[in-house]
This record gives sequence, structure tokens and C-alpha cells, in this order.
Amino acid sequence: MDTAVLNALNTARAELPRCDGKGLYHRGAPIIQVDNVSKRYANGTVALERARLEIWSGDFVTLIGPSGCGKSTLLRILSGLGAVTEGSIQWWGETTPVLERPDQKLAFVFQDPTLMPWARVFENVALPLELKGTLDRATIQRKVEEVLNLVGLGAFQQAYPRELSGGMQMRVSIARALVTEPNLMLMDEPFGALDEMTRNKLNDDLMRIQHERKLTVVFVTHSLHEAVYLSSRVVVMAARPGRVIAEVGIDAPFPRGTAFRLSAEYLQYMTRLSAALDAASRGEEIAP
Amino acid sequence: MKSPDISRNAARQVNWGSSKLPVLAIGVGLLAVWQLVVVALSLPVYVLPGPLDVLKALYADSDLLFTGLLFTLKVTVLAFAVAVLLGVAISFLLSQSRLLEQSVMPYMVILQVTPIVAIAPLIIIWVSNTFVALVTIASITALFPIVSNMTLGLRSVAPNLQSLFRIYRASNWQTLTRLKLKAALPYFFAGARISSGLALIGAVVAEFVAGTGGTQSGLAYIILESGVQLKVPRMFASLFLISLTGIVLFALMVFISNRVLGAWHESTVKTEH
Amino acid sequence: MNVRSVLGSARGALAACLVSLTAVALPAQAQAPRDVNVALSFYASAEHGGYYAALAEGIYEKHGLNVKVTQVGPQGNNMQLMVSGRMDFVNGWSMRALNAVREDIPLVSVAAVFQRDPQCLVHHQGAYAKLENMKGAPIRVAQLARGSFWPWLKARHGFDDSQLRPFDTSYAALLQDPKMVQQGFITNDGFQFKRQNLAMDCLLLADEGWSSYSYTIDTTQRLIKENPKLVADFVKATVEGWRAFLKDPAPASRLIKANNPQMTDEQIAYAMAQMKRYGLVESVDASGGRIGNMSDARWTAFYQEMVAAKALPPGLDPRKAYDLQFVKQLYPQ
Repeated sequence: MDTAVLNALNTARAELPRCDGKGLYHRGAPIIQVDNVSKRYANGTVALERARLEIWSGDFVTLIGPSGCGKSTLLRILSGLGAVTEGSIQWWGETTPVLERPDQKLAFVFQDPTLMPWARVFENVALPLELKGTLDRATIQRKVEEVLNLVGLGAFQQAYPRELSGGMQMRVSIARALVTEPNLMLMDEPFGALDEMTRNKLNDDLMRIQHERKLTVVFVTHSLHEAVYLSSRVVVMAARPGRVIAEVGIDAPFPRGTAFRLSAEYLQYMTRLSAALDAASRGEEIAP
Repeated sequence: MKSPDISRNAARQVNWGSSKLPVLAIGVGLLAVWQLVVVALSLPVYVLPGPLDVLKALYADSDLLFTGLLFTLKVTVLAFAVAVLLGVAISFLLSQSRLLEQSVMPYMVILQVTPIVAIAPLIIIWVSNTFVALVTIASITALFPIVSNMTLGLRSVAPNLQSLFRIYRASNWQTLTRLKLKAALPYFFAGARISSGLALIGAVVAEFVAGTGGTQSGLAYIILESGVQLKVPRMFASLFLISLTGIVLFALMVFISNRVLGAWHESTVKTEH
Repeated sequence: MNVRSVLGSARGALAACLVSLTAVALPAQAQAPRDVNVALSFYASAEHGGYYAALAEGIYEKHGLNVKVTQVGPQGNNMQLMVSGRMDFVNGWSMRALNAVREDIPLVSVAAVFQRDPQCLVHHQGAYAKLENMKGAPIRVAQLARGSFWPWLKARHGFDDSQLRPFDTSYAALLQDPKMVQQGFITNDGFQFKRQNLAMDCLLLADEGWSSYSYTIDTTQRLIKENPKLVADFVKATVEGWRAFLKDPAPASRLIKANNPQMTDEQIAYAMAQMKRYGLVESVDASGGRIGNMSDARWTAFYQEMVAAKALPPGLDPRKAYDLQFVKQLYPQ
């Protein structure tokens, strides 16, 4: 990548909130504010206990933790799909549930590609636009082609999901998420079922897209590698009850590449976060 | 943009062509054995007619049998249509509420297991028009598989897809037509295959029970009448036509199901090595 | 006494023994019972009284016949049972024998127990004074009727197919509609109605010109050819059974009730009273005590009627449907 672009990206990154692992320095109001949110199920399971989280525009926040720590639950709550038992959550400063706002620009990428098997790739990606119903055929065509090209599947518009590999289906899912030009993208372990090579490639694609479109991403993963590589901030959670135990800022410049993966900085973050995760698995608290 | 990924082969429908020969061979074989048995045991035609006798009767009585076939088909097709429309409507209702489904399903099961021969006379008393009574009886017979399968199908929509539709604020109508109906299609066709055969059975049983003669008579009535007149080959010819109708209906449903689901459903993929 | 004379007497005695033994043995062999299988046309009832009386009172036994009577359900096909060899004799009716002629089925009627068909048209009391009044009324008849008295009613009395309604054996539709007419048996339905205090009447078809024989004794051409003595003995014994039954139904009734637990003495009594009142058995060709008798004239006339009613094709030989030799043996003049 040439210097000019590099500088531009670094400047852009400079506008992101910087963090040092001890506390958070923020700029402006958060776009999502989670305030002491708890989620309890009827059978008594406490999926989340008094979670606090803030997301700012441009963040790439990863939620990570052992099974049952509530990361997926928290993500669903962020999307408005999950109800909250206690506490409050605000999107863009308002408490109106985000799904009730006609102008909401939120996208969700599920663990599986969640494609409609009876529809071709084009119809799948066009779905959000068709549901809105306000755009004409030509515009839809253009937008769909645009995002498909972005994920590298421009030639597969007429294919059925069954004909695509797992990685390709995931890319279609991401394309669909991007077609409405969202400003917030929530992703629940999207690359978990893929092999390492595809995963790395998709990581790079995602990073690129996030920067090109200035997306805010909240990302759930099991993979510490992915978390450190992609994020500007990692939120570590523990289970029973589900709660946030640590937040670690990843203070490395974008774009990141193989060089970052091999750097000492990377190793440091990995070590720190490993320790945090171990503690999480054992149910210990961590000093901020 | 070229993709290095190796995509799976395009969907290929199950190839019926390769199985046609064995099917026909078995059929011809069975017919040959039947004819041999009749000849070897010198069975008179009024005890057990052979396939040749049946063929002769088919040809000789073709007018009568064809009229009968048409009538039975009319009842069957109409009953199937009613069962589909009613069945899909009921399954919509049932899929809206677990409580509703659990309260209503037992009665549908009771309807299913009660032999139609027992219900038929009652329906014939209540419904004054014989043709409508026949269609009613056949519809009831054909109803259950549609309701049962379709309700399951409407409930089996992938939860993530439902969440997706919620995220994009899809209206109830949009979710129904774009998601639920489409997702339930394979289940619908599974039920429809069974239902089409049941509609035929219902039509035949209804006629056995109702048995009005005159211009409104189907194949079942011809069987009854031929029995009384001791015309056994014609009885068998009529029976053969009923079986043929059943086979054709089933094949038709499979064909339609393959066409609609062919491109994308697992049930139509040929396994490859 | 010398050895020769002793031997001579011994031989003589032995011969005498052998002769007397043979004299005893031969008649016994001639009387070894022959197996006969009979199928009724429905469940055991008074209309089959002759068979059961002959069984109960040892009449079949006396004629050297080991008879087994089988009841047949409503869907049973006793004709098939007979032509496939499982049965020797079955209950029949005129129309079936003539249908058999048309289809070249070797079924033959050898005697007719009911000279007048008990078939009647049940209706609400007072609804119809005459048969003619039933023209245009809704009517329920069974499949069997479509091939026998229905075409005759259409041709002879002006009835029409538009009157036909779906048929089942229950009375529900009949009771619901005061104009409804339903086929019935003069020996049976009245009993059911009386028990339930329902005011119904039954118009006997035989009174309106319907000349079919009923409860005929049918057998195969083969049995007649191969074992005419068996057929003759069976007919003779059955007719004797009928005489015994009409005189005193008690022994037969016990057997009937044992075979058909639904049957009661009251029902049997009712049927017999109706048989006597309407002269179903001892009349026409059977007058003068000639139970089971048949005539050429009657068969021919019935065939002509059915041809006129378009229920049978012209050009058949009705004589193939029956054989008079056995009733002629019983009633020589």
C-alpha cells in the first residue's frame, strides 16, 4: 500500500477513540450506550448481569469470552432483537427501540450465512432493499452489483446458495449486510465455520470495507487472533453470570497486515488478552 | 471478477429416465405371471380375469369407462383443490399460536383416523347435492396431510431468517409471502403428494357409499354395478383405471414438486462421489 | 364226523358269514354322509328356515348329507364362492341367474323357495296409497336393485332415475323425509318399525306384478352333471326342512339364534307371520304343498319383462338359468 493512502488511513484512524487499556478516552457521544443491562431467563439463568458498554462511531469492538458469557446475547440486545430484563440501552441518544425506527441503519451478520435457499444470490442481497420498497429496480440492481463486487462475487449473481462454498455464502451474507449502507454492523462469529486461509482473507476484506465505508462494527468471536487483528477495542466477558470483566484497547495503526501479526506489539496484546480470558474462564475479576 | 473458489455443481434434478426401464420391466413381468396363472389354472373369467381379458373389457366398454374416469377425476381434483386451500388456511391459523395448534391438532387427528366409510353416510344425509357430498367426503380424506405438513413447515423457518426479516422491519405480509410460504414449500409438496392419492381414495370410497346412478357415476360406481351384473372383467378394468389415476396423480405431484423445488432443495440433488 | 365234513361245514359257515357281513356292510357304505357346503345370501334368519330345520331335525342326515351352512355378510359374494368351488349351493334370485346366462357363468337355479319376492317399498304410513303415487318421489334403493326391480319400475310403472337418492342400510334419511321411499323386505323392516313405534308401511312389489323368484337354491352346471343324485337329495331334504319349519319353527329357531346372536324368537315369528300373510312360500307354482316348485312359463315371462325393461338383452335362452328336473322328481305331475 503506498504512503499517501497509508497516511490517509492513519489520519482517519487518528479520529478513532484512542484507548490505553486503563480507561477510555472518548470523543463525542457514543452511538450506543448500554447501561447496567441485565438479561434473565424464565428458568433463572442469568445471561447478562449489569453490563455496561459504549460504542463510538468508527469503533471495531470485539466481544470475546468463554461459552455462556453472554456475548451473543449482548449482541442481540445491541441489535434490538433481544429484550432486556433490567437496565436501559440507547441508540444514537434515544431509548426508542432501534427496530421501531423507520430510518435505522443497522445490519446483522449471523453465524451461518442465513441465506434464503430458494432465492438466487441477487435476490438474497437485494432483500433488505426490496423490503423497504422505496427504491426502483435500476437502483437496486446497481447497489447489489456494487456490494457483490466489493466482496468479490460480482460474477455469481444468478447462482443459488447451494452452489456456493461456505466462504462464498458468508461473503454474500456480508454483501447483503452492506447493501443498505448501514452505519452499524453487528457480526456474530461470522467466520467461525471457515478454514484459516479463507478466514484470514475475509478478515482483510472486512477491515478494508470497514475503512472504506467508515462502518462501526461490533464483532463476536472465539478467536483471540481475530480479535486482536481486527479490533480497535476488545471487550472480555465471563460466564455465570454473563458480564463484562475487561476492556482492552488495541492501539495499533490501520491498515494491519501480516507484519502486524508478527510484531511484538501483537504478541503483547495476545498475552494480555490470553491472561484475561483465562481469568474469565476461571470466573475471576480483573482490575481495570 | 474471477473467483478461485470451486463452487459445487449446479443443481441436477433426480433423473427419472434411468429408472423407467426397470419399472416397466417389473410391471410387464407381473402381468405375464398373472396371465400365466390364469391360463395354467384354467380360471374362468368370472372368477379371475387375466390381463388380456381386462384389456378386452377396457376396449369394449371404453365409452362407459372413460365417462366414469372423467367423473371420478372431477371429484378427485376438486377435492384436492379444496383440501389444499382449506389445509393451507388452517395451517396458517395453527402456526400463529402454539396453544391453538395443540388444542386443535388432536381433533384433526381424530378426523384422520376415523374411517371415512363411517363418516360418509352422515355427510350424504346432511349434504343434499350428491356431487357436493362426494367432494366433501374426498376433501376431508385428503385434508390432514396438508394441514400437518404445512403447519410443520410454517414453524420450521430458520430462526435466523426470521430475525433477519425483523431487523429489516418486514411487515407481517412480507414475512408471510417472502419467507414463510417459500420456506414451507418443500413441506407442502411432501404433504400434497400424499394428499392427492387420498383425494382419489376419498372419491372412490364416497362413491361406494353414495352410489347414485344415472349420469353422475364414476369408476367406483361402475365397479359396484359390474359386480351386480356379474361382469367381472369390467370390474377389473375399472379397478385398473383407478390405480392408473392414482399413479398419474402421484407422478404429477412429483413432477411439479421437482420443477418448483428443483433448483435449490436438497431433496432433488443427485448425490455425487 | 370226519375232517372233510368239518372243513366243509366250516367253509359253508364262513361263506354265510361273509354274505351276511357284506349284506350289512354295503348298505352302510351307501349311506356314508356326503359333504355339502351351502352359503346363504345374508345372516341366518327365518327366510333361511328350511336349511336350519333340516339341520336341526336331522333331515339332511337322514338323506346321507353332511351339510354345512355358512352365513354371508352384506358385502359377501356367494356366487363367486360357488363358481370357484368353495360352495355347492347358494341362495339366489331370478335376476342373478339370468345375468349369469348373459355372462356365460354356469350358475343354475334348481328350486325356488319364495314364490313371491319379499322385496317391498317402505314409506311413511298413509303417504302413498298406490304404487303409481310414488312416481317422482325420492327413493333409496341398493345397488342390487338397480339391476333388477328398478328398471322394471321404470319401464312398467313410470319411475325415473331422477328419483334416486344415495343408499345406505340405515333408516335415518327415510325417517327424516316424509316423502322418502326406501327398499325393504316385507318380512323384516316392519318388525323394526313396530318395535320403535314408527308408523310405516311397505308396498309389496309382488302385488304390483313383480314376478321374480326369491331365495332360490342355486348350484353349478358341473355339480348337476357330475352328481345329480346329490343335488336331488339336497333339494328334497331342504324342501322337507321347509315343511318342518313352517309346521314348527322351534328346533330351527334354536339353531338360527345360535348362528346369529342378533336374531330373536319374536323376529322369527314376525317373519313367518308375514310369509303366511302374503303367501310368499306356499303359492303360485308351489300351491298345493309343492314347496320349491318352478315353471318354464314363469321363468320365460320374467325374462321377457326384464327384456322389456331393458335390464337384459333379448336373444338369451332363459332355460340355461334353471333346471326343472329336480322339482319334477319331487312333484311328478
